[in-house]
Amino acid sequence: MSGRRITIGNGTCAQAVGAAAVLAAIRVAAAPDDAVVAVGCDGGCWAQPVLTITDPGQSSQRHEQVEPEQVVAILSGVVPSVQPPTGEQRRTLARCGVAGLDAMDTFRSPAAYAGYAAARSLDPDAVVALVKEAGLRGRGGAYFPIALKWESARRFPTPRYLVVNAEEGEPGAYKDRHLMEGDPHLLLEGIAIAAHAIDCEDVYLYINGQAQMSAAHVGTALAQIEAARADGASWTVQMPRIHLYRGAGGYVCGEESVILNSIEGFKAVPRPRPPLPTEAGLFARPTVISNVETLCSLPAILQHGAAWFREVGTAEYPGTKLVSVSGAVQRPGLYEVPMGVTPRALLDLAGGVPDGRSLQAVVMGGPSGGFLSPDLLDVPLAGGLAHPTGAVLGSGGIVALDQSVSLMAAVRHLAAYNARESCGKCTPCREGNERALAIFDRVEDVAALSDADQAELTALCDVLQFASLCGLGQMSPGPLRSALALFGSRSL
Amino acid sequence: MDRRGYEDLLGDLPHRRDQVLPALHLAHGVMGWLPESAIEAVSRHTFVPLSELYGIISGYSEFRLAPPHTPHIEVCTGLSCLIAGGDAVLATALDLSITVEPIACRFLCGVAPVAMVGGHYYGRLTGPRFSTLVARAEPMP
Repeated sequence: MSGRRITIGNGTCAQAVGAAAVLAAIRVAAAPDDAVVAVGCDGGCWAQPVLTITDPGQSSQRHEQVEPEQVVAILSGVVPSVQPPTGEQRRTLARCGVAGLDAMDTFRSPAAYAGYAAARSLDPDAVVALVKEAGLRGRGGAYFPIALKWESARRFPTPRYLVVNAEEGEPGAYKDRHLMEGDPHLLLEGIAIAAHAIDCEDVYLYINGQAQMSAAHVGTALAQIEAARADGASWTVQMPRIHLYRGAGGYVCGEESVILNSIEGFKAVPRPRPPLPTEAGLFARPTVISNVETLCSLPAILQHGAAWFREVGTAEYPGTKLVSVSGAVQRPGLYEVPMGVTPRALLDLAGGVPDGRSLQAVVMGGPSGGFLSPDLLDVPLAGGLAHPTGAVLGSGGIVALDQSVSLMAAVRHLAAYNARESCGKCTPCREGNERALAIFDRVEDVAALSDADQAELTALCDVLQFASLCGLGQMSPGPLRSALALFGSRSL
Repeated sequence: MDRRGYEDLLGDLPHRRDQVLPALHLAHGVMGWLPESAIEAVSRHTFVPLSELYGIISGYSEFRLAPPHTPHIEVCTGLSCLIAGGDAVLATALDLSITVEPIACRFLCGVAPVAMVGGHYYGRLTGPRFSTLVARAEPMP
């Protein structure tokens, strides 16, 4: 009889709360035939370190926030296990927190790269048509249909490039890190599918400079592909070359044209459009730039089809979305839900506001989004504005604010972030954000702004939105406008 | 390390502009900051003029032009961390009169509040726990 499979969450979040010591304790306490497996975070950051025990032929037992001293008792079976959380629709995250990281279990499973195999059995036109039918939209924040981007790039001659935006620099969003840490082969499979669709041989993967574990795990997965290629595995022959780049800080580096400059070795500032990257992007070649989560959605679409993908979500925005929920909630973490669910439902999924505290507002979309008051949380998740004053789903970060932070402090925080992160290339963003911040620094709360201050802020917001060169400046009025509109007349 | 040392370090990288960022990372990794000798080596290796290279470097918040304070301690000041008690960690840093680098977000919001001490991130921090970690990193004078 084979032993138990014991997994321990060992992502960056788990390591920050003592997973290494728990793992060491498990290795000491486990039976010789037990398999001890480090896995990524399953999204339940709040519960880390998470330990699961699976006896052959039985369901898993789950233990949360495990301390090293508890390990012996847990492994001997005297500690009652807890029910795994429910209410999510786990597709993209299916293997996160399950697949082992040391040996990269996924790579050896029969299902590995089945989506890529399905894509290779089709010609590129058919792959584009399938993904178009599925209606997959970019999960980085713009929600542009990826198949249209592919079609646009395919109108121009090869060589074409695929650039993977894994910069993920929006405070309060950590989905791409979870995917790269917990299931790096899913990303590589998505990349291979997209490269096939646009007939591209060279892929540039641009990973945030601080996301060490993401880069390390993606690097290990890449090495496995290379080893399989060296062994003559036929399915690897057509895989694109993947060039790994690391960012070096700066929110603006998540802007797609900034990544192009950064890779090429120029200053990390945005480029004017036109030309669109699909016409003249990296090294002036046709380039498709995609977010990690978008690419990670592709393997399942190729495997299960467009109709399957459309079973969840809305007609306009099919599929699921990863949403990072943090702040004043009981269970902060990463949640995968169908597009179209509401922020209120997400807060409930995260356990709601802890007892004795009350919800003051929600920040959606971080410094590029805006505030929602508690009465506005029933708008379905979709692309575009969630509220006319600025809140957006964006890359999927929701921060619940309770009374422990004043709204004024929160507004200043976001405004100061945009002012600091402005790259300075265009005047509206460089000067406008500083001026807006200065106005907020003059008063104690949003309601105390004079009519003249409000008028100046409104004018500044218009200039920022319409005259800034890139998304950072264009979206920076969101926190200001939404705070003015929703809380301007309220005393704080 | 002198310029020649950094040039040897960059040896294998192609002499092209698209190697500027990888070269800077490689050189930065030696000491955790970029001395002039390192920048000169990257400039010579990639044929990007020094004047332009400084502009490129200064656009990235994570490249340092001076050694970091030791022990290097970062405290996350993002909204999620502040709500979860990050202000208490900052207050403790103030009480201890230590130098900390405030960070906008380290993307560990699910285990907030977060600080980095001695190269390791710690989550669900309290003031007293932070104090213990700091004491372990360097004995107080």
